[in-house]
Amino acid sequence: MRQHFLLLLSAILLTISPALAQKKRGAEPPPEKIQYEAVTITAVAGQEILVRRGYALARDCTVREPNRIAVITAPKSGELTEKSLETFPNYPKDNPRSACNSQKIMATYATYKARDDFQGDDAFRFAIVYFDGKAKHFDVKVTVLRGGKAQ
Amino acid sequence: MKFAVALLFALAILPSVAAAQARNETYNWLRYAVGTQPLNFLHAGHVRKNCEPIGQIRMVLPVPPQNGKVEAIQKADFVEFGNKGAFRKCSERRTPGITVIYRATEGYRGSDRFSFQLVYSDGSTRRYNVDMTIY
Repeated sequence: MRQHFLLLLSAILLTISPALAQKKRGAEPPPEKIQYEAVTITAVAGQEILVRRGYALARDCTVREPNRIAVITAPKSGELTEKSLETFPNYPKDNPRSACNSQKIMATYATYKARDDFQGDDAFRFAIVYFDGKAKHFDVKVTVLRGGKAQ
Repeated sequence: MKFAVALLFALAILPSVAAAQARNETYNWLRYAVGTQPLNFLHAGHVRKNCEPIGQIRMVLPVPPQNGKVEAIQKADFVEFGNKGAFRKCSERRTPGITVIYRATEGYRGSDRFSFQLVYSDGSTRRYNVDMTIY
């Protein structure tokens, strides 16, 4: 009886032991496929839209760069551009970098501008690629309204 | 029969015991770059609980990149030890160590794959298998 129990225990351990060992080694599961965040925006033809911004700060609030915009699928009826603009960071309170929120920094923006003569739907995909190689991917749908003349 | 059971038991627990002694970790990363954008993958430092640095960290390239370059430079920078635990306060100061940098070959677009391994002064290692996409 006791031998049967030990035999069963050994069989179970033999089955799960490699998995436990792998977990102990700190192995991560294989990386997942790209996840796109869906973004829906409205623009007036010729108007520049600041679609998303990317920045990264060290613990002492120094800027980590370069952060870049990668155009994955370009818009058909406008331009997607990378721009460097001043902004205030917006770290949540529980982030140790939230102390940096009162300090202006340079951030990398993805901006979109539809053609002056365009009206209708446009779409594009892009990524903000951070200084450390991590990235956020965006799938953008735009409704472009006809531009009126400024009064 | 007893011998067979004992042998089976030993075989079963062997991988766990080996892992506990080796303290080797493996990470699989998906990373991106735009053209020749230099990437600071990580800054690695090894410290005691009082944040005092311990020994040197070395990098080896078991699988070098085919379409870029990976190098390690010695410098002092911030190491992410996490926001909890005994080493939390060490994240707030620059720690001497090595920064691992990647740069894709000029004009190259597509994928690249490589592995780098950090060897710490206590003999433990961390291996990073990196799948790169260069836009």
